[in-house]
Formats: sequence, C-alpha cells, structure tokens
Amino acid sequence: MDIFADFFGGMGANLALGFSQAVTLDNLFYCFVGVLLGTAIGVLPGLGPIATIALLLPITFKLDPVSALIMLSGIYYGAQYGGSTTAILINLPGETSSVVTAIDGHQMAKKGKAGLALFTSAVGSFFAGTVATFLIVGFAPVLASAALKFSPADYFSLMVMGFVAAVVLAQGSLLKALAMIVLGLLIAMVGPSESGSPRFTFDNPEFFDGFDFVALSMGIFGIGEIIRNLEDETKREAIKSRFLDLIPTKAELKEMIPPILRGTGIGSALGILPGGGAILGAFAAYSLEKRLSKTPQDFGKGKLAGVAGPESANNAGAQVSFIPMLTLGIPSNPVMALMLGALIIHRIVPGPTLVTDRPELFWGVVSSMWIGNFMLLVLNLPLIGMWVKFLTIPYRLLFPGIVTICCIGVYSVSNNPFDVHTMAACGLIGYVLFKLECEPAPLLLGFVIGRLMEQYFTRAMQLSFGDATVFVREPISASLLLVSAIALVLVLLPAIRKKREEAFAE
Amino acid sequence: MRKWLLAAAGILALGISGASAQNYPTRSITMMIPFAAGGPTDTVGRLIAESMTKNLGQQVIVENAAGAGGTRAPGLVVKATPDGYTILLHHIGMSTAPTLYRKLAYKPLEDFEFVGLVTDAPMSLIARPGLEAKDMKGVLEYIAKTKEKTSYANAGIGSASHLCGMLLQAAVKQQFNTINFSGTGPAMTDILGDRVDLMCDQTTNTTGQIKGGKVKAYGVTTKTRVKSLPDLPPLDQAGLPGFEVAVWHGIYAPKGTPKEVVARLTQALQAALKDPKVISAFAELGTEPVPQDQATGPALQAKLKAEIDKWRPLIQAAGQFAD
Amino acid sequence: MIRPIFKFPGANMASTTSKPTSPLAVITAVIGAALIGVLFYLRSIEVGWYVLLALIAAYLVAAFFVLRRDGGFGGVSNPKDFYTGILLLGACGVFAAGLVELPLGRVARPGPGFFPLMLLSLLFIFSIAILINGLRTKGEALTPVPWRGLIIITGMTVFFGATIKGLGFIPAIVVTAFVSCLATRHWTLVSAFATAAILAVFSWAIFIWGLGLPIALCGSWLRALLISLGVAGESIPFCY
Repeated sequence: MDIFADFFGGMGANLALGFSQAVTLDNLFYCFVGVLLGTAIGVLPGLGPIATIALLLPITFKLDPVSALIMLSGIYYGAQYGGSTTAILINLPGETSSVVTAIDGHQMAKKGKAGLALFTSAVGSFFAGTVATFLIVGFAPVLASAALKFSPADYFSLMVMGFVAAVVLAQGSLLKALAMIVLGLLIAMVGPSESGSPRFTFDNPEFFDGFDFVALSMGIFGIGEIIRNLEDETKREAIKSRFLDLIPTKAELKEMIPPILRGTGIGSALGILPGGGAILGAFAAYSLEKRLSKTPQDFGKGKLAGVAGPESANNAGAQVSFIPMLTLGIPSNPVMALMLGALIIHRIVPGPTLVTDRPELFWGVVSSMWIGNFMLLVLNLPLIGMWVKFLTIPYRLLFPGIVTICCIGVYSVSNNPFDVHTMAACGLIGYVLFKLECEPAPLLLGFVIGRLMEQYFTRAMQLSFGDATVFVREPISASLLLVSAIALVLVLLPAIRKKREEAFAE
Repeated sequence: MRKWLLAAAGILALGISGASAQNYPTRSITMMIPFAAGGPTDTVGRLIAESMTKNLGQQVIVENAAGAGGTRAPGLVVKATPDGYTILLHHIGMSTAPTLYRKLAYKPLEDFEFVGLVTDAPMSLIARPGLEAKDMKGVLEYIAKTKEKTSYANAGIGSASHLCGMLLQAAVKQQFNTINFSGTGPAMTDILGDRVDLMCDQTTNTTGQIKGGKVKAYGVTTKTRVKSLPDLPPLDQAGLPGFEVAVWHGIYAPKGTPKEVVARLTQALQAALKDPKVISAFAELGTEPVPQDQATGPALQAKLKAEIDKWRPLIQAAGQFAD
Repeated sequence: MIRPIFKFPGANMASTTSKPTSPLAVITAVIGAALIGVLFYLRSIEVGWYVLLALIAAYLVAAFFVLRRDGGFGGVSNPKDFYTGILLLGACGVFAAGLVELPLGRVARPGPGFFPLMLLSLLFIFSIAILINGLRTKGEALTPVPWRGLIIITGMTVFFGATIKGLGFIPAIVVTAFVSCLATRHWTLVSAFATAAILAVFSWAIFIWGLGLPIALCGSWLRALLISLGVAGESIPFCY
C-alpha cells in the first residue's frame, strides 16, 4: 500500500510541479504557437517538423529552456496531427506516420464522411496523447531501461514483424505485398552506404543522397491518386458533406473506442524503443484492427477502425518517443535529435540525471504535452467544418491546386528540382501500381525502414561474428520471428485453400 | 503573426543578391555542418553561429548536411558561390578524409579559404556498465584477454569516435571488432544495453551518461584533466603513454571568397570566441575556445596540414578505408 | 466444395480480401526464399559463388519444367499479376546492374553490397512467383488509361521542377496550374485562368509571405531577359 501511496503521491507532486511550470501565460502562449505552427506545416505538404524545428532553433536560444522545449514539442505533435488532415482529405501523406491513415481515411472522405474521419483522428490522438503523458509521468525511467534490452537482432526481427503487419494490411495479393516491401527496401538502398560510398547511383550525382521520402510519398499517393481520379471524371465531382456529420452516432462511437484503446497500447509499446519502433506503430495497429474485425473485407474501403487505431498509435508513439530522449539522452528520431541539440545549447545535458537535476524542465515539458494535446483538440474540432467545406470544391478545380501545392511543397524540402522530378516519376509509378493492384503502403514502409533494417542486420552480424543463428538464438528476436512466421502462414494458407476450393468447385 | 513567423524562420533576407565585399554581409549566411543536428559538432556550430550573428548583424543559419562520413558538406561548400554566404564548420574529420576516402570530391588544403580554429574538444573513453575493469589497467587486461573480440562502437566512419578508435587500436596493438553506428545516440544504446564494450567519444556526448553513472568511464584523451569530469585521469597517465587526441573544429569558406570577406568572418569568429555565453556553454561541454591568435586563417591552415600528415600513416596502418 | 474441418483464426479475413493465389506460386516463393537462406548460410561458410550460381540455375530450370508439365504456359490469364512480375523483373535487372560493382564483404563484416544482394534475391524470387501467378490464376483485364490526364499531370510536374529556378516562383506556378486544368475535358478558359491566378496569390501568401521560403519570385532566366531589355538590375531585387 505504502508503495502505491508513494508512487501516486510522487506522481502528484511531480505533475503539480510540471503544471506550475507549464501553466504560465508565457508557456501557454509558446505551446499554442507551437501547435498552431505545427498544424500549419503538417497540413501543407513538404516542409515537415524537422525543417521547421531546425529553422526555429535560433530563436529558441533567446527563450527560457522550458518554453523552448514546450514550443518545439508543440510543433512536433502539431505536425503529426496536421499530416493526418491532408492524408484524409486528399490522400496526401506528408509524414511517414500518416501513410496508414490515408488508406481508410481518404476512402471515408470520398464517401462524404471526412468530418467523422477527422473527428476520430482528433479524439483518438488526444486520448492516446493523454495516456502516453501518464505513461511518461509514471514509468519513464523503468520503460527506458527496458527498451535498452532490445539488441540489433531484436530490432531486425521487430522490423520483419512490421513487414508481416504490412502484408496483412494488403487488400490484394500477398505475394505482391511482399514484393512491394522488398522493392521499397531496395529503393531505400539508393544513395550513400553506411561508409559513404555511393550505391545504385550509376554515377549520377542526383542520386548520391538517395530519394526523399516526401517526394516519394507525395508522388505515389498524391500525384498517383490524381491520375487515377482522372480515369472516370464523372464519378469524382464534389463530395457532399455536412458539418453535423462529424458528430458520431452512438454506434460509431462504440465502433471507434476499442481501436483507439488498442492503438494507444501498441503505439506506446513500440514508441519506447529508441531505434525506430514508432514508425511501425501505425502499421501494426491497422493490421491488428483488420485481424480482429468481423468485417475485414471493409478495410481499405473507409472503415472507421482503420483510422482510429493507427491515428492513436501514431500519437502515442510520437509522445512516448520523448522517453528515451529525456531519460537516456538517446534521440529516437531526427526530431528528437534536434530537441537534444536545443537542450545542449541551453547548457542542459540530457541523460539519466536530467529528471533529478532539472525536475522543473522535465515535468514542465511532460505536462505541456498534455496541454498541447488539449489545445490541438480545441483548435482542430472547429476547423473540421472548414476542411470538410474544402472538399465541396468540384474536383476539376481542386486537382490543379493539389498538383501545384505538391510541387511547391516537395521543392521547399531542400530547394532541389530533382525532388520534384522524383515526385513526377513516383506519380507514374503510383499509378502503375494502382493499375496492377499492387499496394503502395508496404512499398513506403519498406522505403522508410530500409536503411535502419540494414544497419541492424549489419550490426547484429558484426556483434555475433557472422553467426546468422543470432536471430533465432536471442529470445526476444526468436519470439518476434516466430509470431511473424505464424501470422504469415495463417494469412497465406487460406489464400491457397481458396484457390483449391475454386478448383474443386469447377 | 507574419513578422513573427518571418523572424522565426530566420530568413528575413529574401535573398537580395549582388553583394559586394564592402557591405558584406547583406543577407543571411549559411553555415554548413557535416553532421546531424543535435550532435556535438552541430552544437559547437550553433553556439558559434548564434554569436557570430550578433557580430555580423545578419543571421548565420546552420544547415546540417550529414552523410558520407562528413564528406558531403565540404563537397557542397566547394561547389557553392564563393561570396561568403556559404561557410563550413568541420572538425578533425577534415584532415582524415583525404586518407580515408581515396575518391574525394575536394582537396581540403587547396579548395578552401581558412577562417580560423574554433575549439579543441576533449574525448573520453567509456565502456558498457557490465565491463568489470576498474581502471584503464583493467581495460588493457580485458583487451589482452578478449583480443579481436573486443567490440568498439563508433558514430560512423569519419566521426571523431572512429578516429579515436583507430588511435586506440594502434596504441594497444590490437584490432577490435569495430561496429559502425549512424550517430552517437544509436551507439550509446548498445553501450548502455551492455552489448558493445568500448567507445571513445567527445565529452559532449558522454558527460551526461558518465555523471549519471550509467556507463563506465576510464579516462580523457587530453594531456590534462577536463574541468567538467575531474575524476577522470588523462589516458596518457593512466596506462597509454603518449595517447592524445582532441577534436579540433575549424571554419572554412569556399576557395575564391574575397579576402576582405574572409577577414570579416575571422573577426566575427574572434568576437564569438570572446563571448561569455559561448565560453560558459563550451565549459559545460568540457571544452574552451582556442586563444585568439589561433582563430585565424593561417593557424587553421597550418593545423590542417599538420593533422593530415599525422593521420595518414595511422589510417594506412589500420588499413581502414571508407570507400 | 470441401468444407474446412476447422477454421484458422485469420481465415475469414484472408479468404474474403485476398486475391486467389496459385499454390504453385506460393511454393515457388517459399522454396525460393528458403533457397536464399541456404545460399547465405553457405556463403557464411565461405562456399564459392559458382556453387550458389549453380543452385540458382537449378532452381530456375526446375521452375520451368514444373510450369511446363502443369501446362502453365496457357497464356496470360491474370494480366495484372503477369505484368507486375515482368516489371519487377525489370527492376531486378536495374538493381543487379548496380550491384555488380559493390563489395559484398564477409558475413561477420557485411559490405555495402551484402544486404542489397539479399533483398535482390528475394525480389527476384517474388517476381518469378508473381509471374507464375499471372499465368496460373484468372484475373480481371486491365482498364483503359487516361492518357490525357497522365501526360499533362506528370508533364507539368516535370515542367515545374525544370523551371522553378529559371522562371521563378510565380511564373512556374501560373503555368503549372493553368496547364494542369486542361487535364480534364471539363475545363473552361475562365476557370483555368481563375485557378491559376488564385493559386499564384494563395501560394505566395502562404509559402513566401507567411513561411518565408527562400524561393525567387521570378527566376534567373527572367532576370537576364529583363536586364537585356534594359531594366536596371537593382530595380528587380526579387529576381535572382
């Protein structure tokens, strides 16, 4: 009992300290500016949180470190949220995290349910953010040291499992989904290798840096989608949608709650891993929902659970990824690395001693996360009406705008015309993939994870002195691989049997 | 809001070009950093950029062009217009690249104008928490016992930790199982997780972990103790006589940048190195600014030449080439 | 029709959403993937590459004979899969050409070519399996392609990339937006002009005025043109 009293007492005191830091007029202002700016850059394709935070770093030098970090983290999760909006409305995932949201979210929008999809995404994100904040408050140090148990081999196997999740997510042929993942992984290999020597560049300097994710994703999804919509122009005119549609019915509410809970769980669990677990969260959540659903055939056609689960997982993962940064000083993604830099410039050395040395900073930032999430909710619910209105513009007027904004957005990432050309090529590829019924989402997952996966593979092999059995010898890795294998067999077997049933029926 | 955003973006100057050397600078200056944001070199760069901004009256914007073991950013800077609006901050890697990379797109000594040295950052040798050795002697015994199975983490080829590792291998006459990571963060994960034995990295990256007692620490790579880590002996005295390496940083401009512009940049650098804010921030990182007479072009040029000659035989002996 | 005796937990899902998959294709993929594993294991015990090449050749020959015996070359019955397989094989070729010059390293110290070679082998196996599926299962025919939209949209994207530096922000946007409007047959001159104008103003307001992106409003070609027409360089600072 005493332990619990201490625990909750301590938690209360910590939170009180945190809120006393975060709820000052200044900090609330910076938090608001952060989420507002974050939402804005998230909605616009192109410029992501990394570029924005890098641009803003100089002015944060003049701020108090707590305010600086509060504003920067506001941008981070604001951008996550804004990215989902574009993904849902015009099938344009500008962030890795919104690739999965686009699958069912955009289909919902096409059915006139954009309001509901945006509402689900807002509420799911808020809930996940709240849970994740409490996780950080209660268990940050414990979770962080648990995450250290993951060896390179375990990470490799975790990524294999992520791929199985992406295969399950596929609507069509499983073989094609597998091929798409491998193709994505190979495309990620283009550019400098770990030692810096160029690979697959065919001596063309434009390829030396590899491809840009934003260009790839906006080409395959955004431009590809436009070409595909031009196929039958009569169908895709204005979408009728009323503001009131965003308020879910009781049945819809009932439908979205369990996926939100599960998504939060998965996202939090994967987000703790500093080596890129958060990327897999949305994919895993989507696959789980599809697997648990009674009507899996509806996924990919505008299923509410397909938005609720991944969105919650995203936000939980984004929030929880602060744990390794604040408690271990290990950045789990480039945004966290920038935050780390911001801290160091404020002469705060992040690491295990941060919580005890600078409690006001640690708890202030943690509390501001919750406040930021709340602000996002308040900011975005009224905006949904505006976004939905946006879709009532006839498509023939809308698509030239999407093309142009995509071009500017991709160009703005690094002022490199080559990125725009990459996007054009990827638009064609995206359209061909659609024609041939190949899923683009697994390809993008492969692309995002390719580099990391190679690094983990290489490291695992080096650490084991070339013994490949390390992947089945280490318990975490072995169990992850076993789960993947079972899942894959379960998905493959019925597909074969179906074919045989057809043969027998003849 | 608009004003704020503009200030925020730090791109006040919409690129009004045609600057002449007399009224330099008339728009924002880009400082390229060859490593990812948040790393130690980036931190040094941002502190200096912030302070130089005050002196120059124009934003000095840091741009991270990480990749290719720190050879990507210099390659970009060499190709930039030599007008003083693109400069480079690089560390010791500038002197090792010509030996590590046999196909380098630039010549460090010939393709740049030299602005000045910035700082000499010390490094520290740390180990996984489960390593039993109590001091450097214990580490040497451990290496003698495990031989080539001793694992050593570095933050990527060409990084300071990679160079320190090579020096260490030469000092103990034993090749390690060197594992390349893509940055100090991932490397630290495997040190903290008890999977990789040793790492030698800049104190910027290690001080937090050492003070928190999460890793074992055995010494610093300078000849004298470091103020922020007073308990650590210099490796020179702790069992590796003569062992010394410091991560020196310098600022460069592309070849052909006007003399007056380079002089103006040197002046701004010297002012930044006198800035109390920079000095105290450097102290926190366990380092200090170089003396004013070192923050000059000729000093940097001499240092670079000496260091290239110092590292060439070491790298060739280790047989480690990056490409 | 045979009723399954027991139901797999995921059976309801896969049987409703998955396209029919030929068992032969799956077997090809599984055996192939297993072969890759064996190959890399053999490689790890330093077997020469010619052994591995011989194994791959044996696999291909076996696949060919199995297909022929099964009467698999009956024609392209599932074009979507067939063409996917062909395209993926093409991608394999491109990556194989790039892989040749990469050092593979050792298993204990994989080089830059090691992981890509693993991936390439897998992709090759999957391509063959998908190709077989294209010959062995029934699928829908390909639907017509909207050539007009496809050419205009990709063309304008390429145009934007090619001219953003030379023409600059505003002209590139106006042309891109205007011509993009022609991608649909339901365009009118008024709407195209209006769209282009609105987009130019809107993009300027957001990206240049609001976010302060460092993109020239009119580019270097236009600057040169204007100067050659006698306009003073100082009067057009927004062109660079």
